[in-house]
Amino acid sequence: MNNLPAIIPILIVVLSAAAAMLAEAFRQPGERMPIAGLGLIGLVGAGAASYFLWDKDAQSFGVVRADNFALFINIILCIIGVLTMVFSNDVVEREDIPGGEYYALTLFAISGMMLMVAATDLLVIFLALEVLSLAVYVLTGIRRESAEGAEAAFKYFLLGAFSSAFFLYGIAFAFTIAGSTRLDEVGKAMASAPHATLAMLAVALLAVGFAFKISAVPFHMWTPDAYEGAPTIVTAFMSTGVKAAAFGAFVRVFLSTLQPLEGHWVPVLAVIAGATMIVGTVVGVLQSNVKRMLAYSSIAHAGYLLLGIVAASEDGKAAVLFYLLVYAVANIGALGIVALLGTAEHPHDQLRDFAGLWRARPGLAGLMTVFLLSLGGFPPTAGFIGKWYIFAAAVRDGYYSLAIIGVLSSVVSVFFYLRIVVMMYMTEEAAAPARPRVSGPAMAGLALAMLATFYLGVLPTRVIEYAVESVKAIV
Amino acid sequence: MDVIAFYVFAAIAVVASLLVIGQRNPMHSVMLLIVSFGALSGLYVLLDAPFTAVTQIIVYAGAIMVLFLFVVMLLNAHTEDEVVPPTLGPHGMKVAVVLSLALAAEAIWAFSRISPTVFSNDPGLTGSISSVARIGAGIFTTHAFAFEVTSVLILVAMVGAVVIARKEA
Repeated sequence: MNNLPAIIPILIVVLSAAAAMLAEAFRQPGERMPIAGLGLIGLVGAGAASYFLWDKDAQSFGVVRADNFALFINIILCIIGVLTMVFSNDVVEREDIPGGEYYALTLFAISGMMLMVAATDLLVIFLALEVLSLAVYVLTGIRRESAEGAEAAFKYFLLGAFSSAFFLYGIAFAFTIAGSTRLDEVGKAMASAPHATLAMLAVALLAVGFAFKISAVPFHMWTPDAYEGAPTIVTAFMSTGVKAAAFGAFVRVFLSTLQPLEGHWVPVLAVIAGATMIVGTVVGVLQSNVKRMLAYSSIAHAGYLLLGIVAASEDGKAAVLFYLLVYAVANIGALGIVALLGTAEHPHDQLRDFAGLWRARPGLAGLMTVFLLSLGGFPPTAGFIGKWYIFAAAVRDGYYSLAIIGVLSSVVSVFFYLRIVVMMYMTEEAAAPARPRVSGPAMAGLALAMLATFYLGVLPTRVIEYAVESVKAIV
Repeated sequence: MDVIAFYVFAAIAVVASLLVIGQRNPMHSVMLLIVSFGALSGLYVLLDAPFTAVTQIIVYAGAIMVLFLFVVMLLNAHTEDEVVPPTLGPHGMKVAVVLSLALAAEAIWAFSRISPTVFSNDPGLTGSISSVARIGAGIFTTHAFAFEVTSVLILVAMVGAVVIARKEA
């Protein structure tokens, strides 16, 4: 029994996924069932379990470690999951998405994400990565009648399978050096580095695998297509959840296990970070589809987060954690609003669809503005503190040019966030598209996300302290 | 003895692989591929890796080939389509020759630089990989958790396949 505590949050989410599947199996045709509620219970339970495990440093089976680092990201994932469930309850039926399977796959994906961050064995990290990837591939194409969805899922699946192969090759080389896939053993072997060539191969291949999942340039090609073709609620989920999990594992593997080889991989990641920020922003400016625009914005945000990894200090790691939370709340809020306004026939994802939203739905327009300003990094929203913290860590480590690229690209990115805002407030509504009603729980979820955005922007100290404390777990 | 067996298996594998791409009938190609896989698994046995040899037969010659056969039969592709005339243009052939020569030179250079010492010669390491008993013990002790996670992975894959493949209700 002593083996169990560290995996309790993951187990709870897996069980709620199984419950969602069973609920669908027992559902009579036409009967309505609050399956999202099952998911909510599971996620709140997992969040509570993570809270109680704080500072316990529980370990399971020698391959899972619920240290504060993993628990911090667990809580981010629970927040993402809860918001997804609340929004899905509005969207799923309207968009003709098969309910039971949708909730089950989403919850399975979350369990994979939690495991990926907590795993201390490359093999388990890979398995967790596959659990979450497979679930997300299917979620992308879950609307069978949509040709774009099928195309997006197919592209994402093929490229994702390639990147998994790269990752697996990296693991194989690491195993060749260390004779084990455990992170501590691999770290020890890397530090003594008897086979420099193999070590470099392992590092490079693992980096490719991670860079694909976080959609860093030049492995970002799938992102706009997958994000645009997927149902918007799935886009909201995967643009935040997958990124949080992949960055968690990325930080754990590179900043702790592969730290001895820092001199070799930091320059490479620095170039990738710069390119990611620039490409994400510059191409984002050209988009007229809001989902595509937010896809490029998420690429740019991956660049900012990479900057935190490059500045491989305690500050840098804590900044990554804090920024993941900030980004998750704002991005899922913004995409959640797009999802809540869309229907199967009219996805509400073109820029001009937002014309006159301020007159029709002042509340939603206001919330959207807050989330977009946070993504753009305006004070007093959370985005400002998050970016400031990351850029400060980069400057302290001497990466002036990268910090300057970061500041410039966030200034440029403000242009495309403000385009939506201008559209909402200053343009008259043309042909009024029928916008569906937003239910109370979804509104409450959005309001909570907004409160979190302001709280993290005005009084960030407490959460930052938690972030700093939790990165001490990975030395 | 080992050397003779090696050359026999290697020759079968190479010849069968060459024949695979030389067939008009895709069904024959698939069958020849099985021969090639069988010869490969013989090579694995010679390398003292019985587990790899058995998986090669079960997974590749068994499961994967059945999938191939299903695809061939479902597509009803008994014969190859008409040969499409090459649309490479006047210089296409020359470019292709130059590129393939460059690739060959690269490959020769790279292989000549690899020395066996790059890879670990630790006998303990290779011993633990090859023995079926130790793999079995590993799966149910050290890697028990990974084994359990695999079951979740397969469940997700099954649910996903059903979601993607089911008929519209």
